[in-house]
Amino acid sequence: MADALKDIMLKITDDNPATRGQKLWVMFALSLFLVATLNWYAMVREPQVVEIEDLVQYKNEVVLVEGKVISWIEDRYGSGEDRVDLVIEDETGVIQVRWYSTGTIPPIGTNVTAMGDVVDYNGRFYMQATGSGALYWEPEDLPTLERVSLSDIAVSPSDYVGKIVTVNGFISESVSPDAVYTSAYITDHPGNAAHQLQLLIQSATGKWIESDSKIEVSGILSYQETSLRWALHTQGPDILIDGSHVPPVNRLDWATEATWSYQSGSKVILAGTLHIENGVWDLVGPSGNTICVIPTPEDMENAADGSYNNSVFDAEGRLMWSDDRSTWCIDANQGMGQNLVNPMSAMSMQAMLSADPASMLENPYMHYTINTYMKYAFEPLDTEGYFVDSQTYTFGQTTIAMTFPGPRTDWIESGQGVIADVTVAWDDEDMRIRLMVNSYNLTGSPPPPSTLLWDDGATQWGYSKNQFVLIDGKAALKDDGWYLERPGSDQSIKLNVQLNAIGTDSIHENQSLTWKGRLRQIEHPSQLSIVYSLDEADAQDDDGDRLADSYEDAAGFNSNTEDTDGDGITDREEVENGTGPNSGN
Amino acid sequence: MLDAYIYELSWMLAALFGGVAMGTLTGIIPGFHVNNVALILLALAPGLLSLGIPLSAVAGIIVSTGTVHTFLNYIPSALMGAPDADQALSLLPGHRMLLSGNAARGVAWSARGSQLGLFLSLPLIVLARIAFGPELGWYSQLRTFLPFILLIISTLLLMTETTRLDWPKWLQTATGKRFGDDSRLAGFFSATAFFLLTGLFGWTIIGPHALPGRSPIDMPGASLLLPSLAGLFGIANLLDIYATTSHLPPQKENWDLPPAKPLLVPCFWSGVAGASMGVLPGMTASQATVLVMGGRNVAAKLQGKQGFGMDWETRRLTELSDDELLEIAKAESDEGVEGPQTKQDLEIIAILSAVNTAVTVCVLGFLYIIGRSRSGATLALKAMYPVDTWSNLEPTADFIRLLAITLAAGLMAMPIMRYVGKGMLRLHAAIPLQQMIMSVIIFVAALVFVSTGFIGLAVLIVGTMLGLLPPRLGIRRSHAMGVILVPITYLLFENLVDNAGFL
Repeated sequence: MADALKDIMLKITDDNPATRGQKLWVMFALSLFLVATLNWYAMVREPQVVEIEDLVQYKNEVVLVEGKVISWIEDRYGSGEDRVDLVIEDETGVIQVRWYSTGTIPPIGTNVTAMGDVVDYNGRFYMQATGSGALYWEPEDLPTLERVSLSDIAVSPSDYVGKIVTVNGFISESVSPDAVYTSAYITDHPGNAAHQLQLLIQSATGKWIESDSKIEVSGILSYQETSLRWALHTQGPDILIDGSHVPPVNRLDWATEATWSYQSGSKVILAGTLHIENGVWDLVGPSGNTICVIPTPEDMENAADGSYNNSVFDAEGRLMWSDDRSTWCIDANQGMGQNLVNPMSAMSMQAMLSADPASMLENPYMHYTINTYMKYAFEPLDTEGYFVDSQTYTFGQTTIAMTFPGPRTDWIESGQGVIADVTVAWDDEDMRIRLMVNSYNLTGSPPPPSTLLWDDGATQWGYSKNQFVLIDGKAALKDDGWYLERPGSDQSIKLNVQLNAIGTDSIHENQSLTWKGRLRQIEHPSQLSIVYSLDEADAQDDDGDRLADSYEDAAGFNSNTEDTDGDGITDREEVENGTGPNSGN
Repeated sequence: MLDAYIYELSWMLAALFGGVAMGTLTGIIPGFHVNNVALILLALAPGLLSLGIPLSAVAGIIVSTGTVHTFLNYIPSALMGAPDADQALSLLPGHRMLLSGNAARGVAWSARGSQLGLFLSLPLIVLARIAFGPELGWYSQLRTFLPFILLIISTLLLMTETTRLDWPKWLQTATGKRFGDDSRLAGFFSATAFFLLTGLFGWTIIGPHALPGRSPIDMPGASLLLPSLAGLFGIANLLDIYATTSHLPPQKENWDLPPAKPLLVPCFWSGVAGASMGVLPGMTASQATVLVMGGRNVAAKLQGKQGFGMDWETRRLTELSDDELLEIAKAESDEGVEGPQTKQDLEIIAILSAVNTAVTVCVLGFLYIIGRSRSGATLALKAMYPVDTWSNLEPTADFIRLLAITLAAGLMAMPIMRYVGKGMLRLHAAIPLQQMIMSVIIFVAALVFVSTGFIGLAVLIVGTMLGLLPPRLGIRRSHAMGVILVPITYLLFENLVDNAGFL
């Protein structure tokens, strides 16, 4: 054999110029052929079936994975891309499959075979599949569904972990057709429900689902460790609507404007005076509040004769946020008007972040519109804080860290409604995901100040820090300024009264009043201690007649009107003139 | 406190000695690279940790193995003619030394070169820290131009080529003798064709649709780079030697180390070039040496120098064939003098060894400075070990520890090299060269099969086929690094284009 090899080598290395050129061409062509064959084989070879835990060894290779689909999201970023991100699980682990040029999407729980490249992107492994044939399954691979009630799940949710279950109930909020990721609740009764279960809807429904609609939904139950609650993972197309139950249309109230955002995306009715100017429709409330109305072409035709203008009008449509006008609108066109969005709730945003934080971080330029509330009062110089999903504290409230674009001139109160345009970023310092607010609008009014009692304790006082509060006490002038004293005790807090405050004038002097102000913690000017102070403070005066409500109540005046007896003389003037509350009668 | 110090020191020493033993083994076994050891240790790391061996000790073993390996890997290159990729260029001078009975001198000069490379790399690391550290941040700027830099260097390497191919008469006539003997254009053409061919070969190994290399015994870290490089540089060369060399002359036992002073300057500049290229992906010591030697040739030409050693592969300056060069070397050896030709060969051996070692040490520095791995060993370190980047003024304790192990391993490698070299020469005398070569080929093929399976063997065969081409085309075998450079450059350009939003 050695001699044979040597012969071959000698022939190859034969230095005869007459034949060497031809030999070289042959060698080169043969090498090219062999290399091309290797490349061809690399492209067309039948992929190997690989367990998910072993995928790390198959980087840049095309492989097959067999497992159960446990979730999928279609067109994750809403960019119109023909892409579905699936999560497939086998007995050894889970893998994300990014499927492009997709075909029929399998229901959750289907046992599928997926073929794709194993990609390692900065230490993250996923499979990239292309074409409708990249994912296939047989009819017997489809999941068998178990029908259960919410009360069954409530009794023992862990019995259903990982199973595909079908549940009937009522959905807590409206879901827009193109919302890629939404969170809602499924309840056993519209309104006051005995049981509710979080629904994580991971792909677009393709149709509007009205709040309080009766639905049947199939999905996988799992425990959400980030929010400490059970949730049903489902896909938009897996939500079936019971057409026999027509959900009622909610009537909005001008007095509760701050809570309108809870009805975001829902069908609503609101009565008010209609103003039409230059084709722009506005509905005006009793106190001058306005909301925009987007009429149907038919409405516009009917209003052409001017009969609608300045008339009392019942506007019915879908409550949407207008990016153009930065205000809520009632869209009579079923939410299909231009530049209208159904903002994502903080709960949906958090659920989306929990489900796939890395993908959201990979797209730092993706903008989301979020409908949320301030968790804490925000000082003008503050840029970092938290958004929450309800105006007042509730158990299990969702909290997301955020950064505002810069300092402001005014405070933003705790519980203030905010519609914000945000992007998602990673906060290196705090090692958490943070929403970067690009622009925002304050919606509605903040909740009214809460009453704080001297005996409420340090914890409650601590919670009320930076918020507007109501405290009963008597103002007393000391060497270093005004203090609010608790009558009959030596407890006091510093008072920083506002300009032209009525609580410290001669009429209210030495009187126990209800004071309103922002509770702050400051350094004591002379002692080495931190003390509470009430900033922007003044005695509470709801009717604005410059008589404190407490004084009016004690003196027999009506604290809700500035002229109790209706004689044209304000209550304050009555007191200054020495006349009584009923002097006009 | 003292207990903790002694504990740390004990593990450091254990890692040092363990690594030296392993490096000796990998250095003298042709085709077995330090990367294999690193990847095996990476796979064993969790098990070693559970046995109470700290990861810092495993990292120390990898580093000392790598250092000793760079010292000793010249020995199989020169004594058996089986170089790995980093040593591919030293074949001709090293092989000439062997055929002229001066193999021991080659080993001694290589040892001196490696030693100088080791010490000269220390100031280079400091320079690299200044240049690529966060203050100047050159690396982040360099990254933008990386594909262009790779393209320019590759083009430069191709343009320095001159072919010895006798092109067909009609082609010579048709091109006005531009494609004649010793033609630069023909050399560039041949080298480019070969470079692209190896690039296409590399596409099956590191491209997006790479072939799967699977170990039949589930050895970890299966990579088809091993069989491809072993084929291109190792087996092809062994086959050439097998066919062309029937016996070896008796070797002179002259193991005296050459003086360091004359080698300081060329080794330093070669180290600088090597370290500069080591920061780039896909660049090796051999390409750095080609550039350095090319620069020397240009400088010599500009100074009007003629004669020996201006170019050790092309005949443009020396006007001598390889056979003639070998005859001169033999004659010088017979006369018992180290003439200009022999000295030039020995100097090349020393410089290449210096670059090789300097790159190995600098690559460790790059891992800590820019946080990027540029060799299999540092890749394993990065995957196994939390690398604390050297971003402050003072280097991190971990880096200093590994650097100390590197220096100690280098110092120990010097005497080992001599003893191992002697042993290998005796082995040479005892076993006929062709049997030894055949054994090495069988060993490498077995190693390839065990680590990468049948696909690895196919890659080895195709790589060998490609590796046989350069000597017949009259070009340098180092152009076969296109196997890594072409796919990397293409992918970097694709990434660049994609970043610009065109894809």
